[in-house]
Amino acid sequence: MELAAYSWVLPLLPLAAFAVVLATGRKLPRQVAPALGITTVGLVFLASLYLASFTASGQEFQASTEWLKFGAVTIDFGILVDPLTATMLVVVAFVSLLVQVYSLGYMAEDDRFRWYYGAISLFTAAMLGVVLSNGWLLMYMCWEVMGLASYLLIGFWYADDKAPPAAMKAFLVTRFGDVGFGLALVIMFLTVGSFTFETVFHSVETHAWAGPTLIACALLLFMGAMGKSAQFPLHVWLPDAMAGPTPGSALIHAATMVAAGVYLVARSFPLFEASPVTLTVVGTVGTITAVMGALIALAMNDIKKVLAYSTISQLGLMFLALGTGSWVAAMFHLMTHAFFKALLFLGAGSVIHATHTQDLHEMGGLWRKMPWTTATWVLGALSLAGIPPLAGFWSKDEILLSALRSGQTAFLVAGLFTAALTAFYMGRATLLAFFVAPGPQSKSAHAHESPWVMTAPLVVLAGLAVTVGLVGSPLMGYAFAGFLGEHEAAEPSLILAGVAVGIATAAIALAWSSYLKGFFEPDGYFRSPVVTKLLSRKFWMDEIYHHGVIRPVIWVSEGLRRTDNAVVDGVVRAVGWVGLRISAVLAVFDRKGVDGAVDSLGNSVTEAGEVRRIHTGNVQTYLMCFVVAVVLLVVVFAR
Amino acid sequence: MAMGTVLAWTILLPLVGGVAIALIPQSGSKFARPVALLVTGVVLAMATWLWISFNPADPGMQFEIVRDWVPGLGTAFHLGVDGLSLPMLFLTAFLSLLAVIASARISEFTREYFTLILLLEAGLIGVFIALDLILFYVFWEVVLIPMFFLINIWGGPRRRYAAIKFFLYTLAGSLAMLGGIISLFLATGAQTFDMIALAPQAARLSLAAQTAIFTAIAFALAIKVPMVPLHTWLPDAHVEAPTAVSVLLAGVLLKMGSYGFLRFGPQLLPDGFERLVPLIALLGVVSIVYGAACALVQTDLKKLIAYSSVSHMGYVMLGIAAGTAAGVLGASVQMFSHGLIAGMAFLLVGAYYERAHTREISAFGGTARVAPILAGTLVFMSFASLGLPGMSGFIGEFMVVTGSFGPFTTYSAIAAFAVVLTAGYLLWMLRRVVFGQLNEARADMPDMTRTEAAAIFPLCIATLCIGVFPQVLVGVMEASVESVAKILGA
Repeated sequence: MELAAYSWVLPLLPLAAFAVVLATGRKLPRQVAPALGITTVGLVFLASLYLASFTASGQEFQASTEWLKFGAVTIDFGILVDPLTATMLVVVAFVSLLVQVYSLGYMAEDDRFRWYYGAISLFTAAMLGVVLSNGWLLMYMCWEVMGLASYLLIGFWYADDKAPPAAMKAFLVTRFGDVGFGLALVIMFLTVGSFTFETVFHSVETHAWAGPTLIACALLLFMGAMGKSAQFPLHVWLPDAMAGPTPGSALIHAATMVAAGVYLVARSFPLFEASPVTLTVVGTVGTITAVMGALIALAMNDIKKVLAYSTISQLGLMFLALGTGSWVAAMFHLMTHAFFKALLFLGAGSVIHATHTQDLHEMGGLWRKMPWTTATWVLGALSLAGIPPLAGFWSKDEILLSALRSGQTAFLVAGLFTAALTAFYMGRATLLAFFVAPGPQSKSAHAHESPWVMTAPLVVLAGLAVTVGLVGSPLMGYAFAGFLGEHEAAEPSLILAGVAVGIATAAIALAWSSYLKGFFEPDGYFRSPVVTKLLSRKFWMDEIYHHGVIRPVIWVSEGLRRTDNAVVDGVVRAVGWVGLRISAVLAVFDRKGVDGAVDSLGNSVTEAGEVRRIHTGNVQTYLMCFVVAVVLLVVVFAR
Repeated sequence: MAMGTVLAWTILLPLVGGVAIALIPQSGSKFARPVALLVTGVVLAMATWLWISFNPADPGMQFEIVRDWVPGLGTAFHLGVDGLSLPMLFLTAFLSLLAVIASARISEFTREYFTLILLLEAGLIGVFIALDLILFYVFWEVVLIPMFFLINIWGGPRRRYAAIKFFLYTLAGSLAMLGGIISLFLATGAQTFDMIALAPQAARLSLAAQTAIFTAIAFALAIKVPMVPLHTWLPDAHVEAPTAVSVLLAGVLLKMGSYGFLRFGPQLLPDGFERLVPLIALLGVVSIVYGAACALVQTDLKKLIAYSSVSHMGYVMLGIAAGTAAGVLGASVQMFSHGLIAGMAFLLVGAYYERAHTREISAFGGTARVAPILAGTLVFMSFASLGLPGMSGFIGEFMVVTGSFGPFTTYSAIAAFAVVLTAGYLLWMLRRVVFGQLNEARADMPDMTRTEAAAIFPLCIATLCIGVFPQVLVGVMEASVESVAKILGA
């Protein structure tokens, strides 16, 4: 029996860790919770390395079992291990492992240390389920559980002012997107009659399924992806989600869960390819998001918010790549981004841990105090900015190349513009946090380097942020694309790469000359009040939702509640009142005619006070009747 | 023992047990609850036995038992179960036991209380397994009376108002139902009230006759479900009823209505039912949205849950109206699932009320800090209720949306988007009750007791089991559901 056949066990390992934490609560010795979490995810990581080599040898594994059966309908649940799955498994397990090690230091003081590990394990289990399932229904189910884990982690510090609303917002916005995902499943079921990738792809390839329902299905799937991957206009939850513990943000809201939308579209790619219009939609949404996210990131002063908008923007780039038809480029960037963005978040966590502030203007000069954090952060930032030969350069280059080759100039220009903005805002954040002289409100004075359990994961991730891009580069013969099954690489363009690097370098130089050297006024673009407002208010998206959606919903609901009370129930009460009046009038004419039952009923309506006695009197009479009736019934029955 | 006898004893045993408790002398009041526990436990065991013995491949009635009752009137003591009623029987037995467990704090008129609970159980089970219209009607009415007393005696401050409102509301429905049943008897000219024997003749009635009769019966059923705009008894009754009674009210009583739709509609008056389908579907989807919107702005925790029942039962009605296999199956699963989740919800709200003596949402806040297990279970319940996959609510709602997408595409889409509103009112409630700063008035709030856990955790486990292995439930239902869908598809 092939070892890969046991892959279904993988999600169950962290799930078991979660179950133990949930069931034992505070009875569990404090250090057992991380031990469980780290051991299970460590095992999963080893297994995923094996599965990567298994799939690299050209093998795949798929197996299903019957889950639900009614009438002629059979719904199977199963797992699929192919290169795409293996890639995601390695990324998810590895980042989760490093984050859990790092959290040993970061969360050490926290009162709810065990529960934190439980929630991280729940998340890991759900995400492994998402990437292992061989059909959309099981994937959707795990996808939703992932949303629950995200909710729990965002709301981890529930006594905080910001966390509970942020958790709620995240769940509701993603759930709105997931309604689309769910309806896509409905359409799929009613047209193809199956949720399995293989079966559905087959009917798309044979044109048995085509036309408007297919387009609708693809777009609805994308709606789910937009929610989870924080794409415009459903991106508003992700910046608020930063209220959660920073390592959790690194794992869920930077490296893995938010990339699940990209995975969903990549996995469902035959559905999108069959109707090019859907790809245009995906690409356009991605482009808008990429540019918008990068613009807002310019104006953020909270180090985590900068990274959050950066994540939104980079996810947008991945969708841009999908829109140009290159799911391989999207997956490549997903992988490199997972490593360097996790690195940046954990680096930010290290800084926050040391300075107890998230405000860039309250930092400064940290490079002297925190050398490891600074060095690894700088590598991550350069990788994100697309400086060769770091990982981000190679994957971003693939995306730009794909945009170039597809002939969609708008996507290419937007991609380059995003690259420039990215290099600038990362330069700004890096300089403000680590290199500018500490200002009067700086809290850097007492900062110190974090313990080794926190810096070690930073070093490992920095190594990957530097090198992992090579696997997808021409230097290694596009090994990554070949692994995913795409053997015809687009011809590289040195000019494009040169332009991109030039732009990024110029942007970094501009940041350097403004923030460090003072040649230009720092944040000088804020001189324009319009730009200031636009960016610092994040294009008023929160306000638009507040006034355009939330307020009207509450207002309408309040109206319905009042109507319910005054009108719907009012009619009922009016009928009752009229009934009582009529009874009263009748009672005057025929006092004796009103029988005992109505009388006592009337009493109970009209008489206030010691009615309880009367009622218990009733109940005893009634119970006596009941006793007699039951005896009769049993006699009749037993006859 | 013949299984039919076991079936009959699921009604008789609670009755006999009720008599036994009523006859306990005053000094032995403390034995009332143990006896009730024993009785409901044995009934649950019998229900489990029936479930195991049930042949899921057979769409028809099983374990039938017939005894003469009033032969001159054409009515008999005829019982039986199929895939639609067996889960309801089981649900009633399950929730009755948990209701008795949860009634540990009843200190006044204990004997009367448990007698009435057992009588209620007998009536509820009777409604689900009666196969004679008169018998059905008798049980339908039997349910009304203990419920009236339970609310009126052990209820909250406005219990009299709520009890009488409940009584009159459902009495109005009952009269319509009685009228409908008698008309059916007269119109068919069949000398029997037997539902099985009557079915072929009822189905041959003219469209106009079927429509008129079914409308009368549907009025009574719609009040019980309840469908907007006939729902206003529910919030009052729930708010005033004691916890265990709310559990049975939301968990089982409401299902009498939707079960009646399945029994009277497709199986007895298919043409009349088809005629009303557009209205049922419309009111179903209106209930979903209206209930959710009203729940969103409630300030009373129990009212919020009550309105959420209106919303969740809307899915049941939409699925029944769709008439497809997936729709009816979804409706049946949702009925069972809502029984579990609503039971959980009212037990939890009851636990919160007992600690704070208020149900105002604003009186709580940050309770996760002082009562983590209670708060965590409230979070669990909320996610079950908002249809998180892996729990039973998802299976029912997803099937209803799938099943109604063909016949009622727009309604189906509205029902799908309404889950966001559902998530909205539940998560907003959690934010104000469980999370946030600890409300100082709740600083010494105790966590969940063992008794509460014994009543609540079985529901949590059942919700998870059905969510992960829905075949357990669907397997029993599917043959009967298919036969219903076949009638409606024809």
